[in-house]
Amino acid sequence: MSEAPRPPRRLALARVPAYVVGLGTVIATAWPAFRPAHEDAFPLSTYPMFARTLDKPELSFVERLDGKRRAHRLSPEQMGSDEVMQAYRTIKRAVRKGPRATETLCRVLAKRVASREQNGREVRLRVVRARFDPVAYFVDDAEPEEREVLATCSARRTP
Amino acid sequence: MKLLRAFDGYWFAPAPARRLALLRLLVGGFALSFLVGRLPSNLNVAGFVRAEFVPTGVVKLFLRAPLASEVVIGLACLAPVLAVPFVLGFAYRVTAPLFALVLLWVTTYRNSWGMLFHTENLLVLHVLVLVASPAADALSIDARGRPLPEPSGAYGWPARAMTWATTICYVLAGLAKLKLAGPVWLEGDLLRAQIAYDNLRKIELGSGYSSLGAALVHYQAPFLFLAVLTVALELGAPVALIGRRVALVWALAAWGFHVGVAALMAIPFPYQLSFVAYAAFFEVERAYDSVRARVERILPQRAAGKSTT
Repeated sequence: MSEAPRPPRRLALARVPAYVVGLGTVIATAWPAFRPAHEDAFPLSTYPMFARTLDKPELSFVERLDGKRRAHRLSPEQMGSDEVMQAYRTIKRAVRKGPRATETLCRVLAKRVASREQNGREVRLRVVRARFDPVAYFVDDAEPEEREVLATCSARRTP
Repeated sequence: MKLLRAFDGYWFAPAPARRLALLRLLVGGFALSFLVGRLPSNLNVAGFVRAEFVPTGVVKLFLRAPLASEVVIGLACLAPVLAVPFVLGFAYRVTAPLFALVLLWVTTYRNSWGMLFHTENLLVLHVLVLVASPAADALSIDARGRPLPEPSGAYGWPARAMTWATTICYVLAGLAKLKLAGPVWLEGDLLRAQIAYDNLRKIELGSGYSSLGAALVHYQAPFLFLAVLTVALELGAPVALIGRRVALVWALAAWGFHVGVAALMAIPFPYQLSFVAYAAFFEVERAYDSVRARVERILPQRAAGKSTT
């Protein structure tokens, strides 16, 4: 009786990473399916983006007031991030934490903006929370339904 | 037992070493350009406010507070440097796992500031698979002077794992929509509101937005179609595992979906948009041979043309 030929040793060894890493990666990628969808992580994600229901969401942002008290939005770059969503999360988290965290954020941002001012002008900021109807915002040019100033602060470049 | 053997046969279907090597070149080449392009953003993280640190993934296992900025800067610079030997297949057994670890760390650390971006997940998963495979047995510095190995299952499983991981990511995105919003997501109003809100947020936060998305929000009807198409594409992703023709149709649809996301929300998914994310579904060596044959046909003609002038 002849025995079946043994697979080459290299191929047999190749099965170890194939199953541990290959199948392991596949199982790990699928694992978030068994977690609540809002519990996201990286790189094993539940991919909840664009999945949540939206009614009239609140949005918090930072405004800079000029000499005539006109408000100008602070860009993500002025907030120290090149990503708009990072800037959005930073403000959102501070607002969620409460008034102290919001005021701290306001002061940190004011100092940062003031440090880049060439002429030493005073930088006045305010953190605002507003409620929008996203579709009406574009279709009817609707203004925010509620608007609340959560923190105000100012800073000047120190010599 | 028969089922296990059948699965083993499927997972270890022989493939040429060049296919896996080309996947290394494509994925590694993309990772290198991505890490170079994202370097300013990855360096920027060193200056983030400590209070904003929300560790995720592997970073959560090791850190409770942010790293010193010198370490963050060092790792952000090291990642593209390590991508070079990965692409070239140089000292692969050492450099490739190191590259994967640094890539995983740098991208996870970038995502550890309260905002999960979802744009790099698939790239990281694909690299993790490739570094554990013999992807430098061909078209590499390590393989110089060695004969091309015979097709083998060792060169087949990484593409299998990569395609499975890809399809699972899409299925998860579809499931999340149904889990979080329910079947109402398919009606399109939620997608319309999401696109409107995303663009509104960008406008109000002083960033660039999609004027096409802002214009389309004026109409309700397209969103029913787009919502159904999105969920069908996501939940139907496993059809791409059936065969290469179906995979091509699905991959083109998925790529079109990402083009749509970029056009309507100004959110680019660079890995998917480059199409490299879908390369593992195909016999990439055939495309490589075809391109190479064309180049070789053109080059001698040019050389001949030059010699006659």
